[in-house]
Order: sequence, then structure tokens, then C-alpha cells
Amino acid sequence: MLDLLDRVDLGLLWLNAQGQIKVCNQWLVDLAGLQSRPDGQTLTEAFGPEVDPKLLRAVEQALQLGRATRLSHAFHPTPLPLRARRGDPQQRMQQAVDVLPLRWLGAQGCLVQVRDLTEATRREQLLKQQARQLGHDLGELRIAQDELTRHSTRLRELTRLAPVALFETDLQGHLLYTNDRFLSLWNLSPAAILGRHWSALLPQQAALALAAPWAELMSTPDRIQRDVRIATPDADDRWLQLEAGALRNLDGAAFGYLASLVDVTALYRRAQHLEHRAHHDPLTGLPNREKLMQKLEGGLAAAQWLGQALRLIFIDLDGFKLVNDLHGHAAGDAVLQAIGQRARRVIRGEDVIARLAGDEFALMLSDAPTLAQVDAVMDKVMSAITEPIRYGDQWLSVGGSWGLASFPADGTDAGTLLAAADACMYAQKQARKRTQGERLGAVAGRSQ
Amino acid sequence: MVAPLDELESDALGEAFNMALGEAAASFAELVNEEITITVPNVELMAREALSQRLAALDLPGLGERLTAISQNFHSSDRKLSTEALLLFGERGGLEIVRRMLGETDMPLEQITELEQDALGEVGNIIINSCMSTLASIFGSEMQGTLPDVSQPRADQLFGAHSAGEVVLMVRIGMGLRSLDITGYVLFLMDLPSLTHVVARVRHYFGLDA
Repeated sequence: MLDLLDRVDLGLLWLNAQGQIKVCNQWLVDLAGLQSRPDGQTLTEAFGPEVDPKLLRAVEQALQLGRATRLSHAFHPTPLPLRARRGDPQQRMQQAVDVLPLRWLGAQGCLVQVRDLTEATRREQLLKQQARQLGHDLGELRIAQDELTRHSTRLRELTRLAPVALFETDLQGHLLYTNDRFLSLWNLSPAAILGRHWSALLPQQAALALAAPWAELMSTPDRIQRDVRIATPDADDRWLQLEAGALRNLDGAAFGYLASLVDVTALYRRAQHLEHRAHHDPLTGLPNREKLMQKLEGGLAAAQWLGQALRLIFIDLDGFKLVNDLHGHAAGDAVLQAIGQRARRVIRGEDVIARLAGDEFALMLSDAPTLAQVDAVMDKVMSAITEPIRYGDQWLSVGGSWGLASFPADGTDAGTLLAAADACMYAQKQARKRTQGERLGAVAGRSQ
Repeated sequence: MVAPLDELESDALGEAFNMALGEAAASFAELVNEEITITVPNVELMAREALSQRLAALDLPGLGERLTAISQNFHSSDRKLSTEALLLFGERGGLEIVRRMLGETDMPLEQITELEQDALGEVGNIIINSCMSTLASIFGSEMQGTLPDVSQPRADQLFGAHSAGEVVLMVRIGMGLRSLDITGYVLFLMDLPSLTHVVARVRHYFGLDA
């Protein structure tokens, strides 16, 4: 029997009603470092003063009251002074002890069972440590998740409220995400648009123009900005401003593109309008002096390059002041508008007629016209000027004087050429006035 | 049909358990170096079925979930009286009380560990033994007991091993550790001969037959 008890992997003691040890298995003898089996000794005599008083009380209760008692490891880690079976021999064995009343061989007594919990304790501590770490990690993960959710919500709201159309594509340019403004810009639904190449939304010419800068995005850290003209046959042209940049991961590798589109049509129209106002005479709609000078410089550069002549004619109205004085400025304005319209009709598309100031006009003829061709054009222009103009129930008429300056003979720059044409016109006007004066004098002489 | 304890018997038993649980509270305080309060126990005698219905109807705190049950069997030396004593907590309550006693309230593990289960066994052992000391002195007989067995049964599995006709002496106690208030239930399950014996002994002990 004792041999059997010596082979079990736990400590066993049986004490009689007097609290004397009658059975002590080898497990306890070895681990308590006893010289021999403590037959007839009390617990304190056998194991020394380090025996936990709780254990002594439990034994007492078992023997006197028949109570069974569990001394858990948590509250009583080492009720008996036993050495640990592994590791540091100075370490105490972590134990759990059960004391239960037990009659044996007809005698009242109690059984003390000692379980070695050293390994279980170590494992459980490890488990608890891991659980705490896991709890901590989960807490951090939850915080990160909350932050991510907040971030994502913020981003979604920002893209929803953004005053521009936003879209994301993969590296091949296929649409992965668009905001509502993007959809309304193209009047499309997400189902119709996602997965398509974004440039398929553009006219072919614009798509081709953007292909190269879009491809460059992959290799440059910079963003690109381009204005794209959207020409549609059944609607006015639109202008969109595209700004795009690559999306990169932490290693710097691009994984897609994020881009915005802003409709800048209104800006373009306003700029065109301002540009027109800056270069045109508001009364006649003809180019003004500044525009003429620009055209003249362009024309001179071309003429110089081609080795051709260029003709500039300065025109000054005769009798315009009289119209103003007799019929008022509104009548004068009507005359200028009518002359502007007519003159535009009689010149070629590539020629330019401009109102310089007051009743002064200038006409630039490109393509090296001969003097005969100039005369032919001026005949038409002068007819347009001198033909009577209906103003209310009256007919108004003015005359005109003109002077020609040619490149390169009379000047090689715009200012010189214009001054030369002006001087020529003035000379012609003076000469005509003189001739008219002589004629009038001759007529007066004849009548005298 | 179970003869209920009359008011005098209940009060007398309550007083006796109160004294016994005072000892249990002192044992706890010694274990964890913290004062543990135990409320005045409420004692009732009822049929097992009636108790099940009562527990369900009252929706007593902590008993709607899985339970932590610590049980020990006792019998008198002449074997005339045998009973199974049960200490019940809600599963969460059992876990919290043992972790609070071990100073491990930050433990994120949802399940009770093996060593914690052992510790909980000791907690139940102290309470049940204290109660049983009271009963033993009332019975004038030693009550031999087994070691505590800890389990987590569902409420409907609680009385699995007992027949429906058995009676239950229920002692309801409240345990408090600092900010933690847990309600526990000590139940003594016994058969009819045991019950008859118990009631007779109670009446005799408190001089209620005179």
C-alpha cells in the first residue's frame, strides 16, 4: 500500500485523531528534505515551524469537526516547506492542499493531499501576462480603430462638402472613387463610372493632350495642373482645371492617383470678355489702337520673315465735327458705328481695320498687296465711308482722307509706319484742301 | 408538501447563521487584508421546484446567467441527516469576487482560470463550513463534509442530481468588498427525512416546542 502511495504524483499524509502522522509518502519525504518518514510526529515536528497555521487549523477542524478544507494556492501558496522540483532548489514549491476527514483502518483521522502547482502557476502567470498584453493591445487597436473611423468619416464629409470634383484611380487610371460633385459634373451615376478609365470622359483631343503629363505623375513627386477644354457639339465649350498627384505608400511606391477637377468655364469667359474689352473700341466693336499695334507687329514680323511688303492706311473722316455740331453726339456715334460695320464688310478676313481715336481709323493690309490692289480696296472703303447714313428721318454723310505707308519703304516698325501713314494722310488732306481752295478761288474769279 | 418554517424558526436560524457568517467574514478579512461585510442572512425553507420558480420569478441579481456553484456534501455521523450545501453566485459575480480578493481586477480574461477556480473553492469552503458549524451545533451532531467542488452550471441544471420533491433550506447573503457588492445564496438541499429531522432539531434547539 505504501509502495503504491509512493508512486503517486502528489503528497499524501494521514494523521490520526491525535494529529500524529501515520502515513507520509516518499514524494513528501523527498521534497521536504526529510531524513526518514516522520511516523508518529505532528506536522510541526516533522516539517518545522514554517508550516502555515491555516493548515494546522484545517487539520484540527477535520479531526475534531469532520470538516474538509481546501487551502487554495492563491491564498496559501506554500502551506508546507517543500522545495521546487525544477529550477532553483532554493525556490519553494507552489502548492494547493486539501484536508479531509478520513477514517482509515477503523481509526478516525484526516488525509492531507498536497498538489504541486508550481508549473500550473507559471503557466497561468504567463497566460495572464499574455491576456493583459492582449487586452492592452486590443485597447490600443480600439483607439486606433476609433481614430481611423473618425478620420474616415472626416474624410468622407470633406470630400462630400468639397467645392471641387474629386476622383481616385488605380495606377492604370481606372476610377475607384468619385465624390458626388464629380458625378454631377459628368451627369453620371457611380455604377456607370467606376472601373472606367477616367480619360474616357474627356474629348479625344483633351485625353491625348493629358496622356503624357498623367504618365509623368508616376515618377515625379510634383502634382500636375492643366486646363482642359471640353468641346461638345450640342453645348457650349467648357473648361476644366485638372490637378492630380500620385498616391504613395510608406515606401514611396505609387499605388494610384488622386485628382480634382474644377469647372473654370466662367473664369475663361470672363477673361475672354475682359481681353475683348481691352482690345476693342466699345462703340464700333472694331479693334482699338492697342490691338492694331499688336496685329501690326505680328504682321511686320511675318512680312519681314517672308520678305514681303505690308501696307498700312491711315483714315481720317472729313466733316465729322460738323455732324456732331449740327445733329449732336448721338448722331456722330451712329455715323461711326455705321462706318465700322460697312468697312468690316468690304475688307478681307485677314486684314484689320481699327478705330484709333475720335474719327481716325487705320487699315492694315497683309499679303503684300500692290498699290493697285490698295487703291481698289480703298475705293470700297471710301464708298463705305461716304455713302449717306440714315439717322432718324435724315441722311448724314461724311467724307474721308487717307494716307498710305508701306513696309519696308516707309518704316520697319509699327510706330514709324503708323506715323508715316498719318503724315501721308495729313499731306493728302492738306493738298486736297488747297486744291479745293484754288477751285473755289477760280470759280469766284470767274463769277466776278 | 413542505411545512414552512414559521417566523420564529426563521428568525432563530437567521440569527444562528448570522453568527456563523461573522466568522466567515473574519476568515476572509484575514485572507485578503480587507474588511468584508456580510449582510444579515435571510432564511427560508421551500421545495426545490418552488425555489426554481421563485428564483425565476424574483429575477434575483446574478442568477439569470450561468452560475458559479461551489458545493459540498455533508452527513451526520449517524447518517440520519445528509445534505448538499451549495454556494451560488452569478458567473460574473464569482469571477469578480475572486479577482478582487486576489487583487487582479484588471484581468481581461473572460473565463475563470484553474487556480482562480481553486481559490473560489476555498471561498465557498469557508462560507459553507461556517454555516455548517452553526447547523452542526443546532443538530448536536458532527457533520462530515467533502471537499468543495466548483462548477459553472446553467440555472436549469442546478438541481440536476436531486429529485424534484427535495426541499431546500435557502440562506440568502450579501457580500461586500470595498466597492463590490455581490449577492450569494447558500442552499442546503435535503430529502424529506432529513428535513423532518432538521425542523425538529431547530424547534428543539431554540426551545420552540415548550
